[in-house]
Amino acid sequence: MPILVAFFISVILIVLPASFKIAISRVFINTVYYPFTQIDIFLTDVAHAKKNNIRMNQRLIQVSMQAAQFTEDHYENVRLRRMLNFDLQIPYRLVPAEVIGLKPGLMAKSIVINAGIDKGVNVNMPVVTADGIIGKTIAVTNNAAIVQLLIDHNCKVSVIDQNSRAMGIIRWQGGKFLKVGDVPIESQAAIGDTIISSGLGGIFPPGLIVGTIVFSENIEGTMFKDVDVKPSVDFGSLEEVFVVIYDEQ
Amino acid sequence: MIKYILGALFVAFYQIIIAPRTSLMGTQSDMALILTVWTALAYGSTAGIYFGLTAGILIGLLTPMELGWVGLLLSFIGYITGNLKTKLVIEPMPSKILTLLAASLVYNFLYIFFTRFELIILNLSNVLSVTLKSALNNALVGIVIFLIIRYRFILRKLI
Repeated sequence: MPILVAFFISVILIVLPASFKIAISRVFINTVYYPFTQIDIFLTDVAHAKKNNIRMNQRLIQVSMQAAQFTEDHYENVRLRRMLNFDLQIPYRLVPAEVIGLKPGLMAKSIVINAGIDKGVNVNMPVVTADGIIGKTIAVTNNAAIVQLLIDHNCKVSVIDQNSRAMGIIRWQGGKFLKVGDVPIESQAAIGDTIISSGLGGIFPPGLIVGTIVFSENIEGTMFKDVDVKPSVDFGSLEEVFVVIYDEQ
Repeated sequence: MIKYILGALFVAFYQIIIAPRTSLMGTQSDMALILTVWTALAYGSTAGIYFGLTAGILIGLLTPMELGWVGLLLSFIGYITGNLKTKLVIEPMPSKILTLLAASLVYNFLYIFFTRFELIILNLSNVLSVTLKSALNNALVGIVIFLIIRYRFILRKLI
């Protein structure tokens, strides 16, 4: 008997119109179940807040670490800037100049620039471009100077191989390339190495780029190597140069 | 009657607040079923039917489109379980849990059969898998609930 009662009640509920079922459900949810649903919402909010709290804490730690790293970078930046300023201020000062004259010929061995004594330029001062050394001043007037280029066979620069640290004297001896003399046979100077000024000659400060090794072989019967260097500067298109006032001078 | 309504309200409380937070294997335990089986085992089929019907109607109100089906199936489970108790000795805890497991399998399958028949046609294996997982979940929660009820009686006797 009870099962029949349950069956009839259930069937009546099943066949009720959907709108009526929804209405009854809404009334119950808003009254009888209201405390339960509120507790459910509260617990859900608490769970979300806890998850958010964990996530925000993780983010806070990440941001704190980033901030610490940025601070470190900032101090490093300040240190490097100080070092850079120190380097620029103490050993070098660049005086800009324009090429105003070339020695006639197929390839000029010297040029005239529009910077002279009035700008602090003196004899035996290095002259460079952004690409590297081009030569040195050999005569100066009040507002001009003659620059002896590296491709003049009288211009010599004490250089060092940036890679192997082999030292030598570079000069032009004819041909397409500069030659580095007095490079010991044991040195590891190799093709592709960058040649820079060593600072030993007293005119050129150390670290100025001269060129790249394009040929390196032992000279038979001697203790030296034959090293050819392609200049980093295009001597055929000089327009703007800088005279390096090297304070050690 | 008051006991049935209070029990059914507890079931509603459990289904709204606790069950979603204690899901196991992707399924939620069904306190209405667990307590219907326990009621039927403890007080017989009539009590099982009425409790199942009351709890089923209250729980059915949470899913109004299926209102009536839960009550019908739970009262059916209460009726079957109560009758089973008269024919078999279901006193030890393991046999009660096995009864609950079997009742869960039957209830879950019938529930899907009557309310979402298309799922059985489309993916019977998945339906069986979910049914089994849900039954195992109910059995595990049932162990806890049955033990709590047993201790409640022991505590009452001690007091």
